[in-house]
Formats: sequence, structure tokens, C-alpha cells
Amino acid sequence: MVDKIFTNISFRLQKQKSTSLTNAEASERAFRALKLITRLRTTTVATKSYELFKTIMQSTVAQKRKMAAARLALHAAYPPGLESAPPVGDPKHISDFLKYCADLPPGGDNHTDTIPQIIRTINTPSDQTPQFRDWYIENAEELLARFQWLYRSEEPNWW
Amino acid sequence: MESAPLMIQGSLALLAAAISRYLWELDHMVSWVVIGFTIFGCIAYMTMMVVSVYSFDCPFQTPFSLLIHYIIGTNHPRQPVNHRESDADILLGDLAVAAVPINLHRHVIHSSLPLSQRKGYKHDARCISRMLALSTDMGATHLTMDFVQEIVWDAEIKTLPLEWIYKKLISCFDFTHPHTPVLNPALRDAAYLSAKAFAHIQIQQLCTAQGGGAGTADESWRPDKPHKCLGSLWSGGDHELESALLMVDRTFRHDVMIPWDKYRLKPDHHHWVSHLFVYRAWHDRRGWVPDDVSDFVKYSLNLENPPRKPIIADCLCIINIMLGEQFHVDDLTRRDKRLDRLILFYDSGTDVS
Repeated sequence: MVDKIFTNISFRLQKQKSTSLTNAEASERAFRALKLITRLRTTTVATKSYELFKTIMQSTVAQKRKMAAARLALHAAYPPGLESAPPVGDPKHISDFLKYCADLPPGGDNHTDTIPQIIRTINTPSDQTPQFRDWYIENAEELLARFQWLYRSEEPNWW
Repeated sequence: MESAPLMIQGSLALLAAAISRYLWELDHMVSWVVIGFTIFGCIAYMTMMVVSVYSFDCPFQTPFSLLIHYIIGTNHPRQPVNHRESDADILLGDLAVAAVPINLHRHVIHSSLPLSQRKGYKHDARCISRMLALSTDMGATHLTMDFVQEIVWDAEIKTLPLEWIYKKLISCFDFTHPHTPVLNPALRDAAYLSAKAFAHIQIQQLCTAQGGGAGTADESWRPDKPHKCLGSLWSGGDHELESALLMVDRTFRHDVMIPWDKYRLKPDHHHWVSHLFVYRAWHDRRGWVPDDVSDFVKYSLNLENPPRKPIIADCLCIINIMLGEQFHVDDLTRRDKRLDRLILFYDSGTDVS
């Protein structure tokens, strides 16, 4: 059932499914469904969420909506306390996402535990794929420097 | 001990034969009277036996009918309403678990279900209505109202005890206070059970109406006076009762919101709500899943201690409906078959997928 939900969300966010719904409605429904399903903390949901994150980052959805969906997907992929989170791969998508987040102004929405969790995860070698590890060694310093707000307890204005 | 009826019936037959034989020697006319009674008894017995063989639900089972049931392999008592099973149920259960889009129109699903199952719910509904109308014992009415949740109150069921239950619910409150209705503490259980029964029937009636949930429940029973909100006014710290009352209010007014985040629900009550909210999500599937249903799913999936697996399954169903999948909430046994299988998945250590 979880598989089906994620497949549907993926199709609808990419506007690939032919339904009686308009694209905007389909996208909005998918976003609402994503908000709900990402509350479920299981290994399956985490794995599927990471797959969805990659799909979302490759999609041509509007930037703001894309990043909001990507944040939800990553939040479900790496929830606090989940023992077996999917290994971090695809440096491009992660870095695109983190750069976008780093550029957001501080303040606003307080739902921000996604970023610290992601930072923690990408800092853990055992959670990295070899491809990501190579990239991380080269780029970590620059990337992490963008997240000074994490240490100042300031929260960016997400979306 | 179970062979006692057989021995009694056998001894009666022997007695009748012996008396007939004895009286035949004395007087033929008198003997014919006894023989007539004996033949009548035999015919009645045979009729009961045939009827009992035809239906196991027949209350006049005889030792021979039980033996015949045993021989032909139909010696199963009538299954409880929530444990009925058929090939169609298994098929639909499999489809639901596999989350294959079920694009069957509801009447196709209806026609694929055994008529006996649907009749069973109709019988149960009639029994409940009659029991509630006739019974004066509080324990009996409580049990009967509790049984309401075991039935799928399909829109085709027309015998609805809504008026009785609504009056019962209202009678638990004192409306003489200026601002809020006051619950009589001794009637807490009556209020809770009647609120649940009322919400259950109303929601299922509305959501299984022909025409894809666009139908409206029969409201001819409604009192002339407008419904006075109970849940939003009454706050006694009893989360189960308050949420049940708010669900009743929600059947009258669409602007009633239920603050799920505030509640800590007991598992049974939580499961009941999740089950009913699948119906509500289905009902609104052509538009948006209502906000209070979304809030409920959020609340359920967000709990620190994860809720029961059937509740999670219901939440997943609601999310699927939100995405446009057409689940078959009017499948009379959906609840059991689908969830039983999901529980098996969980118990075998497999994740929900």
C-alpha cells in the first residue's frame, strides 16, 4: 500500500498521470498526501521517501513547490531515531537541495528539524555511498559553512 | 449429554409405536386417534428436519439434521457479522492489500458479494431497531447499541433506529443550564454508546449511498428543533466521549472541527474513528478529503507510540483515497479481510507495503 502511495505521489507531482483532475489539483493532492505519509516512520517509508526525493529533484515542478516536496521527502527519509535510514547518494540532488535551503532567509516556519538531521546524516560515513563520500570530502567545508545558522539557533524562513 | 435429545426423541417414537400397537388390539378407533397424533408428530419432525438441513440458522435443529450437516460438511454455525468470508471477499481483500486500483463501480462490487451477507446485515439492522424499540433494560440497550458498530449500515438498509438513538443521546444531557449542556454522570456510558451508534449509522448511510457518495441519508426522523451542538459545548475531559459527540455534531453541521491533537484516545475508540473516517474520505473522494479527516490521519501517524496496525492501515487507505484511488468502503467485509491480511503482514515482520 505504501508502494502504491509513493508511486501515485511521484506520478502526480510530475503530472504524468492522466486523470480527470487538473494538473494543479493532482499536484496539490499529491502534496497533501505526501505531508501525511511522511509522518509514518518506518524503514519502507524512509527508503521510498529517498527515492521520491530523487524523483522530485529531477522533475520540472516549480522551484518553490519542488523544494517544499523535497524537504518533506527528506524529512521522511531521515527521521530522528530511525535506525536503518537509506544511505546518502546522489551528491548533486543533496547539494542542490542544501544550497537552496542555505540561501533562505532566517526566521519563519519552525518546522526545521529536517536540515540538522540531513547534516548529521551526511556527516556519518557509514550512511554515505562511496560516490557521495568522494564528493563530500571535496565539498563538505564549503557546504557546511552555509549553515552557520544551525549553530546560532536561527531558523530560516522555509517556505 | 449431547445425545440426550436423540434418546428422548427415540423413546417417544418407541412409546408412540407401542401404544398404537397395544390399542390396536383393544379398539381400532381409539388406536387410530393415537396413530393420527403419531403421524402428525412424525410429519412435523420431518418438516423441521428438512428446514434445519436447508438452513443452519433455523432454531429447530434436530439430531438428524445436525448429523446430515456433519455429513455434507455444512456444520458451521452462522458466522459473526465481522468474520464472514467468501471468495469475493478474499479477492477484494487481496486487491486492497496489493493496492491495485479498484476501479469497479460500487454496484459491480455489490453484485459480486453474496446476497446472504447483505441480507445478514439487513436482518441485524432490523433486530437492532426492534431490540431498541422494545427493550427497557439498560444493559440490553447498551449491548444493542454496541452491536451497531458490527454492521455496515449500507444505504440500502432502510430500517434505521436513528430517532431512538438520538432521543437516547439527548436524554443524557440536561439542557436547562444557560450555556452548556450538562451530562448526567450516571448516563456517561449511555451517552457515549448512543453517540457512537448514531455517528456510525449516519456516516455509513451517507457514504455508501448509490451515486458515489453523493446521496444523503434519510433525515425524516429529525426533530423539528435544530440540533444543539453537544461536543463543542461540553468539555468534561473525557476524550472518547467528546470526540464521539463532535462526530455526531459533524453529521449535522459541516463546520464542526474535531481537535484531534488535544486527545489521547483509547485504542478501541481510535480504531472505530479510523474505520469511519475511511468512509468519510470515500464520501468526499470527488472533492477534497475533509480537513478533519486529514488532521486525524496526521494525528494518528504522528503519535509517539504508534497506533494499532489496523489504524495505520485505515490511514493509508485514506491517503490513497486522497490520491484518487477508489477503494471499496462499501464492501461489507472490507474491514476484516483487508486488515486481517495486513496484520499477518505485520506479524510476519514485513513492513507495510
